[in-house]
Amino acid sequence: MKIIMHIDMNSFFATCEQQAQPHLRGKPIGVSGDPRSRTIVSAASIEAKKFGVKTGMAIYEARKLCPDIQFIRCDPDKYWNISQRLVALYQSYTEAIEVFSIDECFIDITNLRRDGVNPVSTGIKIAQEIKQRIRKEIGAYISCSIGIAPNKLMAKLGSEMKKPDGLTIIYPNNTQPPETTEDAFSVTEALNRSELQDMCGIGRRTYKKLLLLNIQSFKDLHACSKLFLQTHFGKHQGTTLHAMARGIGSTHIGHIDDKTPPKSMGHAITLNKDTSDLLYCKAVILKLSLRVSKRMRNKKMQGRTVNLYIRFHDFSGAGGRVTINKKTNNGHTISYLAQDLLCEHTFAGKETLRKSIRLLSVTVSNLSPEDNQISLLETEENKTKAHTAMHEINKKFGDNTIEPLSTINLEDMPPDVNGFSKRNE
Amino acid sequence: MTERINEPITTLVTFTEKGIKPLAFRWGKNKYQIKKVTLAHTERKGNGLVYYFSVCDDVNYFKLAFDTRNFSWRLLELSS
Repeated sequence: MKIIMHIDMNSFFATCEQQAQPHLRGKPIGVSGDPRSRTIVSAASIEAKKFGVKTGMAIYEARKLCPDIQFIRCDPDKYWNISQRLVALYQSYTEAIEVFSIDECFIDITNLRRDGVNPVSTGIKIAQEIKQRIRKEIGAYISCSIGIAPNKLMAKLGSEMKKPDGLTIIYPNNTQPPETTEDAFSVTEALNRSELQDMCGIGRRTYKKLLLLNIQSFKDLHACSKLFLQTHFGKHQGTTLHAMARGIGSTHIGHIDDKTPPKSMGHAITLNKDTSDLLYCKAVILKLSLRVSKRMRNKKMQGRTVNLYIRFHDFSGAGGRVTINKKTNNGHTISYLAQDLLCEHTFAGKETLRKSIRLLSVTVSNLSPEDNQISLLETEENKTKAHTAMHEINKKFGDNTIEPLSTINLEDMPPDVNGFSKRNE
Repeated sequence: MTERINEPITTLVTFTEKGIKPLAFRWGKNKYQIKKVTLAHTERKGNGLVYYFSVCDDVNYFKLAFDTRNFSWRLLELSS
């Protein structure tokens, strides 16, 4: 039997700020972008959550629920750096780690048996030790909730069951409960204590659909046949839901360095204000394309398909894609293709767009490893050399040391909205 | 309320086996004794590395930065 641990940092961004700034401790805070601009709550502190403030909420909504809330500007490098230190701490126990997000990890502790102690008890001791070490080595205010279970699904559910600073053990139905003072439940008990939407994989839409079918609890879900669930949710999701109701989930955790190559790379930006200025939108697309290009070059990858997504002021959307014959990771080439797509979907006049735009996203897919095929056209070859030189300069001296003139006025452009996982790319 | 400062400072530091630790700094005419380093983190900027220290004296919170590219210290933020 496998023993999987899931570690979930409590209100991670907010507690990092409360660790750094002691005067914020015990107070409702929200980590956000610039509160003067259009932004959302990226993370709420434990105190703010008590007022109903949630991640993704607009600033004005959060203020309505909690008038005393203080907004702290997001510091991605701080959270990224602390996350790296946490992973290094877990690596001192094992390399069998799956980084699930910036503040969540799965660890396979099956083989970490200590002398004379059974694996579950060893897991509990390690979990307690990790909590202590986080307090000592990272910061006394930073806490986590840990779940220990026979698979990833139940381990994640376990870490959700007690927050903050919880430790929950979920053991198989047919075995003896472990000897511990920590919370311990059998798989069935844990499922019966949880709401359907607590389970990773049951999102808002699936939950609504389950309710429409009068499935309100895991007990109800357990009573459904696989065929019934497959009929209503499709073969894949139906099978997954059937397994979830029985506490069956994946146990696979690879090596920390195992990484599947990305299928696509993209960046999206919510603009500070809606705009129908064509030149401004083109400059934003160039900036996004250069960011994508940088990551592709760092990963030594090239792509053939460029996708553009536009969200308009009324939240309607449009998008398109174009596939080229010769793969590229050149930011300008990506940008030209994306700008053409923009004009195709929104162009109305000389310098204005049909509708004002709220969000732009550029993604390159159809990725494969870079090849250094030299172009027969001298101008193409020169362009490639120039872009490579630009990339190398920015790599050595820092982002935006050298950049196209048209993007210089975008200094106030908000940071990327979709990517803590790619900060090291 | 946190105020953004971003001004150069003169800093007294100690180098221990655990790394670098600021002890006190002078900003303009004022001297500040650091009582506690509450958090330290780093950020890579090009080939260089910047160390950030969140520190407190008895009444204030400060965020200091040490840039290894030019060995300079800056006071980035202040909250009193």
